[in-house]
Amino acid sequence: MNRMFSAGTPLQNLTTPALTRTALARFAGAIDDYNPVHLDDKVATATGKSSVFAPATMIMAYIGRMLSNNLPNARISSYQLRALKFVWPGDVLTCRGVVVSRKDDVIEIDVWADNQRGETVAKGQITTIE
Amino acid sequence: MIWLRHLKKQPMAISQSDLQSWIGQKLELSFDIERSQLRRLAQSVGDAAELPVVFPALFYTVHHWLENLGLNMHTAMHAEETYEYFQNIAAGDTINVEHCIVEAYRKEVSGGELLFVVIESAGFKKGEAVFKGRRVLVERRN
Repeated sequence: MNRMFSAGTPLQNLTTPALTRTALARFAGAIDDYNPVHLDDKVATATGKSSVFAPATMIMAYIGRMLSNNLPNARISSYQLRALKFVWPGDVLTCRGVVVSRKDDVIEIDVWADNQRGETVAKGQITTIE
Repeated sequence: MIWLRHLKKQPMAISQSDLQSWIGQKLELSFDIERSQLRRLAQSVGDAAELPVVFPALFYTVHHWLENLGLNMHTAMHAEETYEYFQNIAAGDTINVEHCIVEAYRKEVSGGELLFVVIESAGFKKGEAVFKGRRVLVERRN
């Protein structure tokens, strides 16, 4: 299956809703990690940020979801992601991917997420095995 | 407001020997993976179903550990995350996780310095490796 995922194939995008503070809090609860810079504006602004911001792991989870929408039966064997920009409440992320290589069942995919201003907030690579 | 009180403290000065002493420090944790937890994680990013890959973020409740060492987790950023997965993790599994600081160093930049801490982690199920990960944290100090 999925023979169409050859080098150069773009994956179907996933666009998030505008990320709310509630969404950030919900993710923090789900991973049981309550660093207040993602939850409390007073703490975040005391460190010079304009507000709370999303944890990099949340972007990772959205990109993971984009990938599993495209390749529901593939097993991820590696996942690397580099955070480039802060993600603020109100931001809308579009998670994207393109197949860079395919050898038998192993697919390497470049992945990234852009915000509504067209800035890339994180990028990396995922390897899947079908 | 406990966090605000914490912020008013001067950030702990970190010496070269402190950084050296961080290298090799370990944290070992054990997690019982529950179905409801997987569902909650999937739903938090809008999925109706469970995530097919259990996300190692679940095993990364390390910020108190690092704070106790002296890293300011309010200003530290996750610069990069890399994971490799060897087998699936499912509800009902018990995953033992070992975190280890493998690098800690500083780099001078204009107007201050950057502190880098690299943590390698490994997850095991019944003694067999299920994932390994590496994360780079960066804290800016002025």
